[in-house]
Amino acid sequence: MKVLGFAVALWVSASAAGQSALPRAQDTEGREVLSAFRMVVEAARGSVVALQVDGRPAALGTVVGRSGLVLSKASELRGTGDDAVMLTADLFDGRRVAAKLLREDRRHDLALLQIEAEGLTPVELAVDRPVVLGKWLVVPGLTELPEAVGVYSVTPRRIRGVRLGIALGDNADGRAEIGATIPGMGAEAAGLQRGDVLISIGDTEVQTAEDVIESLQAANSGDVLDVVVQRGGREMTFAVEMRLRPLDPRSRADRMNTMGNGLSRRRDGFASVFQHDATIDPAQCGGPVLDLDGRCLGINIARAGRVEAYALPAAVVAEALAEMTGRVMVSESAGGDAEH
Amino acid sequence: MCGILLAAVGSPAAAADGAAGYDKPAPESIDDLRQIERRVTEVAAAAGPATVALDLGLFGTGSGVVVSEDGVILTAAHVIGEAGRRFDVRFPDGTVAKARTLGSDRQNDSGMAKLEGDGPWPFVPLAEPDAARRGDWVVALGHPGGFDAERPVVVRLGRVIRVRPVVGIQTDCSLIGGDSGGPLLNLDGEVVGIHSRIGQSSRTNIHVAVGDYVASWDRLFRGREWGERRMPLLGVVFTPDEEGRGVRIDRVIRGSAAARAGVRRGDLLTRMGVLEIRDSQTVMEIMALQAPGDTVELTLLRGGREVVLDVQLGEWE
Repeated sequence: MKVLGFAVALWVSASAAGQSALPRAQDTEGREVLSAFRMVVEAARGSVVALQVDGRPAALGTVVGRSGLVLSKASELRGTGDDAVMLTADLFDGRRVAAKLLREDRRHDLALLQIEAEGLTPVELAVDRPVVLGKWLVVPGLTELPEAVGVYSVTPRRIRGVRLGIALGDNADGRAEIGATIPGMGAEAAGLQRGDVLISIGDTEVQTAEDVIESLQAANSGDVLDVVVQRGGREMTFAVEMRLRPLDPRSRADRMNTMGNGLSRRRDGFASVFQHDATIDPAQCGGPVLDLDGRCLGINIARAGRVEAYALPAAVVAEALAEMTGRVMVSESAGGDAEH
Repeated sequence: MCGILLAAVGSPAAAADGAAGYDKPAPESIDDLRQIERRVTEVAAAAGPATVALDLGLFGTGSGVVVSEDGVILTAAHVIGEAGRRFDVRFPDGTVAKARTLGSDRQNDSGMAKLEGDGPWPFVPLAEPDAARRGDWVVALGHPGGFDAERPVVVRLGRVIRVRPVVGIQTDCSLIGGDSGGPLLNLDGEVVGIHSRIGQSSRTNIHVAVGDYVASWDRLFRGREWGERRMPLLGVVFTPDEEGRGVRIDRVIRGSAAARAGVRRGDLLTRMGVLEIRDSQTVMEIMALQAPGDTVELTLLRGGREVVLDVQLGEWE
């Protein structure tokens, strides 16, 4: 009892000696700190839109063309069912206008949209800015304060993530054999079974577990690969969709990662992203990431963990945009030709 | 002191400059932000090479920081476990070196290790004990989620929310498991703390103060192990709700933290902080991240109404 009394007393004196907490407004992303970024956000107002799917806030968008071309995060703009969705965009001046999906780039999870608005301010894509870790990053929205701020945490890198959805089992010959299929993943959906011996994945012949991992390096989420297996002496081919690993509510690592915030549905399987620590939620992806000079260093593409937000670097965005707009122009002229 | 102060006030140059951006309660302009940015980028560049990943094999991985030319590593007690273990240290440039665990204080979670070999090793200087002050801008480095060969040290910025004498330094630097043992640096590039654990809000990340290492440096260096981790106590007995909505409070221990806060038998606990409770395991894991004296916000369903209570946790004896 004496010990208990002592412990309690110690605690009381310790908390009495402790400092009071920093006012929340002065937190790294508190209101007072955000206010210092006002000028950066003010200059970017015509470059950001807020997109809705069937009226619900879904993502931010980055203006890349004066006459209403906008890039955003594709996977946030899909509805829950198969029905077509209605897309709208809110502008900084309070207008809500119609938006139309032109193209998707599944590799980078980018969507190119046309919104019914003129006189917007395309972002200045800073394709050749040197990367400096620790630099401020600003996530502007439609209001006068930033949606979030943070610093450049990790230089661009590839984020692997797509999987067949199998666990490899033991095989007497040392060949890669399916030990189990993971529920909800592509292998199970395609009909692969425990005991199937893998022959090839895509165009790659596989023998060992390392071969299997290697064969998936270039695959992206949503790709469908032909998987050839040997089952009961026969060779069989299955078309398997590459999917991202689902969040596991029983995994401690996944749970620690989700503490405090929801994560983007698509958050891995990117060819090149840089990481920062601004606290964005999935519906704040798709918009630009600016430096203190207001230049666009990239587009937010995923909230990937408690610590991690991913952004596509400006150079990657510029390349994807050129590819998508190129195709848009081609398809439009092709459509015109067909009417002749 | 008074004279200096007057002189400073009287000097036109000083008056024009005012406080540096990083010394103000909050930055007020882009210039203030640039002053912070310059320091942060310098600190990240200087301290990155001395921030290491500790690979203890079966005992897990964590982070650490080299703080002397001859290779003393500061880390967290819960990362190294016990003294005398030989393990791999990975530097950001790809170098792998051998090291041995030294002492630890399990109460404040301070731990030490030493690189083998002569060095000289890249290192970061220590700050004065108790250098951290509320509102300081701080840089957190480490390997969140464990070492990843394709990802260098991860840089994050935050502020000191408060300094708590028993608990440690509290910041809003976003941390996760694997960061444990990594350095918290001030804008002079000195180590002010070592990452210890995270809470469920983004502003309750706890770091061991560097003063705790300095105060018992010799004992740590000699490989002594002492102290018991202080376990937090909520003071309830619970079972999972059949419908998976949370956990049902079966009993509230008289005089406990829960009782004092007004938790009642029959309440359904649905949230702790922002985290949803789905099963007993979640409650245990959240509690494992708390220390006695931490305050946790409980959301309870009581007779169809939602009740929110702040509970200051007690201590498990």
